Amino acid sequence: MVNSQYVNELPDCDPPPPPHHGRIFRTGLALVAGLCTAFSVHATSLDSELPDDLTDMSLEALMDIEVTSVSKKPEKQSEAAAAVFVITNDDLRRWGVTNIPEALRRVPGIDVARIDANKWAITSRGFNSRFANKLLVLIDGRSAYTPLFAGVYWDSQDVVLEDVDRIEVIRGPGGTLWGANAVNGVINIITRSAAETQGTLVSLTAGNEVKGIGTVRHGGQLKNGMDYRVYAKFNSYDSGYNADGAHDDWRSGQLGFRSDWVKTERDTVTFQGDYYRGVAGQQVNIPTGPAGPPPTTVIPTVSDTNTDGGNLLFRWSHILENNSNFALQLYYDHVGLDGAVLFEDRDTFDIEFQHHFNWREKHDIVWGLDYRHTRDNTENNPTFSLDPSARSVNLYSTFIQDEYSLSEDLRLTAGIKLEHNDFSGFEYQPNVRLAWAVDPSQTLWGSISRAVRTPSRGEHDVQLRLVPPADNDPGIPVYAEGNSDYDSEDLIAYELGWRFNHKNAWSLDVAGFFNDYDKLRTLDGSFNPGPPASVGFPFDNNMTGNTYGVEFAGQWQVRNGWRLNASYSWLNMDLQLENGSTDSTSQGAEDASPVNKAAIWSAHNFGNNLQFDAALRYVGDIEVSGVSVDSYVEADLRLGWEARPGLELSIIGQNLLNSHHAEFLPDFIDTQPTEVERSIYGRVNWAF
Amino acid sequence: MTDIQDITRFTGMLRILRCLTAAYLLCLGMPASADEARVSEYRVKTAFLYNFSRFVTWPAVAMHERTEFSLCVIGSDPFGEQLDKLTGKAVHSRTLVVNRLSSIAMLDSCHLLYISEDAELVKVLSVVSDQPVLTVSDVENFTEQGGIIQFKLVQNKVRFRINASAAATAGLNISSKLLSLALDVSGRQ
Repeated sequence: MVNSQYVNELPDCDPPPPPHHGRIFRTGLALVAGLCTAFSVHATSLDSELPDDLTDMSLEALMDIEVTSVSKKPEKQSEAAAAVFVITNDDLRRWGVTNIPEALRRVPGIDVARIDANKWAITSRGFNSRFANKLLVLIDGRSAYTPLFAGVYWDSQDVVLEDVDRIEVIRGPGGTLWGANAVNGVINIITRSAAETQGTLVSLTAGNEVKGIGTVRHGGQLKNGMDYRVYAKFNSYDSGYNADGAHDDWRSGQLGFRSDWVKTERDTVTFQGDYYRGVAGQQVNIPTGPAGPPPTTVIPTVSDTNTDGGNLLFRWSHILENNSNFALQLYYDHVGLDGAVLFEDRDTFDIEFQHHFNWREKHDIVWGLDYRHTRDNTENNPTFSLDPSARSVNLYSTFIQDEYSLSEDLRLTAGIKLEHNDFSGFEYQPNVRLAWAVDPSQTLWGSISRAVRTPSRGEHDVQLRLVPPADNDPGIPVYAEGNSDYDSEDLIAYELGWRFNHKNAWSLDVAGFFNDYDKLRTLDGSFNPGPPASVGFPFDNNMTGNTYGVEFAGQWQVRNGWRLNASYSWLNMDLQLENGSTDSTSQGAEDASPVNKAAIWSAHNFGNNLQFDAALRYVGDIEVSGVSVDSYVEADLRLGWEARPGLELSIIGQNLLNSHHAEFLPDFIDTQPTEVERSIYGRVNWAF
Repeated sequence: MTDIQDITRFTGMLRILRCLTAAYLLCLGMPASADEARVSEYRVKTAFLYNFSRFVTWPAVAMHERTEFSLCVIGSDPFGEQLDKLTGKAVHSRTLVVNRLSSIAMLDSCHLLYISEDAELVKVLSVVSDQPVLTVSDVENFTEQGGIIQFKLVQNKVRFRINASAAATAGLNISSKLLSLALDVSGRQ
């Protein structure tokens, strides 16, 4: 929810930024299920984090501060006892990004690697893969990961970036508030309310790699005071680079609406929905034939993956007496995907309730209930099949969390989530956090949490034919196989953080973690004499491991109109097989995330209407499935000109230092990887 | 996919839509609410008051022979000591002073007047509406009742509405910047 710690916020690089430090875990609630906006009443900017004299701030900056609208007690100390990085609307514009994966590249602790033009591997604190499964992604409170493999189809997660209020990236476990899969992090994409997106916006982007992005959005107000917006968006991206030719160009279109109705000062009702369709190209190697002398026959198949989906979300938040509030949220989500290998047709219905209240002055309590029903349908093919081909899964959960003020400066947060799912049964995810406001400019925090990553539908039911490595090809079909005994992966995480803000001129956020994993996923092969003979690799839980790392985010307001930011992450992973496992691949996750990753960027204003932005990014070398990918340094530039109020012209260059560079490789499904090419594009944004 | 599956899905969606619609309608009848104490909110609003004073120009008659810029609050004061921190700041080359008024007698000496929710709004407005006084309030529909600037929280962020014709009547000139940031501007020529 809303609780944010805007290390980065600085609209237009105007005078002192209002760093909104939030109380994630108190209002965290809020977030909790991502009823984000619902509970935003508690997403307070802390007085202590703002400059003493707010009159030094511009009106625009003042308008970005979230205030406590109903609070009987003064807001003091307490900040988020978690590692939070917030990407603001202004950042999205100035970074010149065109989609969500690109927006995440500068965030410390988050790996973003493109596999081909329409597939990404994105993770938090390690274990990267196209099917990375320890990150929870929410868009306006709606879960965006697929229970098929507990990962995200990034090309289907589109939003009008101009309408995004902020993207909150929380590294570390969020299981107590958000539930299973928030193991290593949560990405919370929050769009602006319809009241904040009034008027018409036309945005056009075109260049060599971004062939065209067009957006039209219109916001208005009905006579009864209800604000609304409707939008339509179209994207077309060129293919990446591969010496053998690439086939991964893709297009998508999306329509949507949102209405927000502040019925009374106490009641806000939000209703929103989206519908999308997409066509994404790929070349995928499909193993075929029953048996024969190695090598296994592999047919390179060029084909389009068709996607379509939509969602409807309703949220009612109500403020009660005594500084308490509740929110009720319902959503329906449909995901359709039809590709050469993967097929998914899924409907999800989710209803959640949250209540937040104060108890005996010092306790800030939030609790909630959630029920999710998801059912899918698969068209099985020889490469990918699910058994049964259709399945319904129910998820029930409840949580409670208390934030207790031990003293003026010390806040203790403790909570637990209990949930039941059809695959692994009952799960519990507790956490304890302590935040100490050392003085008005700095906070120290620490936490211990347990989180679980529950089995995906695929890990339970899939039969996926793999392309065997050339040097180890048995000549008979090789399958990754679902296992009905596959259990949840679990994690105990220890985190420590320090946040410092010096008169808003500079700030530093440091977070360190030690993660202790158990029952990580492994694949142990066994020969099945048949007939027909095959080698099966059922999913199992035979790996343990530790990961540890440190992440930095810093900001320096050099002077009025010039801001510098930097981020750095260091990650170390140490995974161990146990129970006699002979898995030869899963430990490879140790090398699939870079040890070092850094970015530095500058946001400079010249006069009132010229903006110059520059960034350098470094990502260390990795190795995916035994194949190494070199480290790279890339640069992004942007020049923006506000020709007249409401009309902004910009020219943007991304990945300028190399004509093309590789970032990642596929796993499980042998799609042709392509490299990221130098991209230059122009953008016109006209708001009227 | 078979037709049957399609139909099942479609009817399922219809049912969900119907539920959502019903819940939506349910909320329409919710009661209005009272106000509650606010803390941080008024800290931010204090800064807005100061900014308003900078982006509005008073007619010469209101500034002539005045060495002080008078910011007044009538009714119970929600700002508290935050407001006193504005004292001494320069506004239009004058020194800002804060006056908390208990009666409507002194109203016309104010440059900027914040009207609290428990003040007698109609009476206060009738006294100052043709005077060069910038009226500001949190009262719902303040601009419709003849006030000039009304605060309005939108998603917990402070926004404001402007009644431009009331400002014109008062002889005040509101900068285009302030007008452009307003949620809405009524009575603009």
